[in-house]
Amino acid sequence: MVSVSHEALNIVKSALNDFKTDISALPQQSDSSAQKIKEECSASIGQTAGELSVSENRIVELKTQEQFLEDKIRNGEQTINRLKESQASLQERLNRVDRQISDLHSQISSLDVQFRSEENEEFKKMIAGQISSAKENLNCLNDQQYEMKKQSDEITVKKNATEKEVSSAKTDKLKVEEKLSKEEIRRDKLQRKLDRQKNEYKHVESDLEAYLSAVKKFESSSKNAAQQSSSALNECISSIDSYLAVNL
Amino acid sequence: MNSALIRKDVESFQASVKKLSDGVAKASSLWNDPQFSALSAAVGKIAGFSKDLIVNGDRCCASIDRFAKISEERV
Repeated sequence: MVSVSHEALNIVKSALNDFKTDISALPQQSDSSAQKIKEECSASIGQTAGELSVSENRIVELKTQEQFLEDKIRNGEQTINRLKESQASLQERLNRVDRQISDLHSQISSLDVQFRSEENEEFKKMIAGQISSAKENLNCLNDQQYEMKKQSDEITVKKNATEKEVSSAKTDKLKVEEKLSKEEIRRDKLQRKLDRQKNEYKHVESDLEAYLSAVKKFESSSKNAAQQSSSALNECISSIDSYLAVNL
Repeated sequence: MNSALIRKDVESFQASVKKLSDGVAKASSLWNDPQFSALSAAVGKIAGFSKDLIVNGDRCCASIDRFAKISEERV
């Protein structure tokens, strides 16, 4: 028993044709969407890799700074030790000169007393000569004492300046070490992020391939099924048209 | 970057299939015989083909969203 109208057949035929039109563009559209997503993912991975590279360069820079400061501190401390040794040696010599000066003062005082109490002119002359000689030696020693004190003061100034430089370098080194530590932590986090992105991208790629494959299969199967139904409908419509054309 | 592009495509597929089903259903009051049943079965088959697509589409969107979440992490 047949129960269908021309109108019904055309409604269905129209729906099938619209469907075929709708889905024919979908595989291309899906390919385009998939391509765009792959490009965006690659760009994102590239960005992370770029940030990682910048971080690694920063670490190299900070390590160079750290090494420079370590060398500066070591050299500074060596200089301070040398200066301390020089100063100690100088101080010993200064102490000897001080003792010699003191001895000479005593000697001159003693000669002076002898000179005053001496009545013999010959002996007086001799004592005067000794006093004069002792005073000459005293002048030399005073000059030496002055130069040594001056040298010692210069060493102190230099030592203080070097200690200040070393202290400053130590403070800077602590800051650099802190920055280095933070940057190394950041670098490790970036590396892990990059690894996870690359790993997940493999899933994205394979899932996109599976999806595109499903789209193509859908388009092909649906198009065939729709086409078969459409062809069958066309035959029905032709039959009805032929029937209606018959002049009874 | 997110899965919106794929979701939009999948929704387009689903909309096309629904439009076809609605179109066929519209003719049911005017067509009532075994031939229509065969046609309905064919359209049902088409709807069945779309399930595979939807499942794969959902899986794809999930992996894209996971990737996007990792990418958005601030370091």
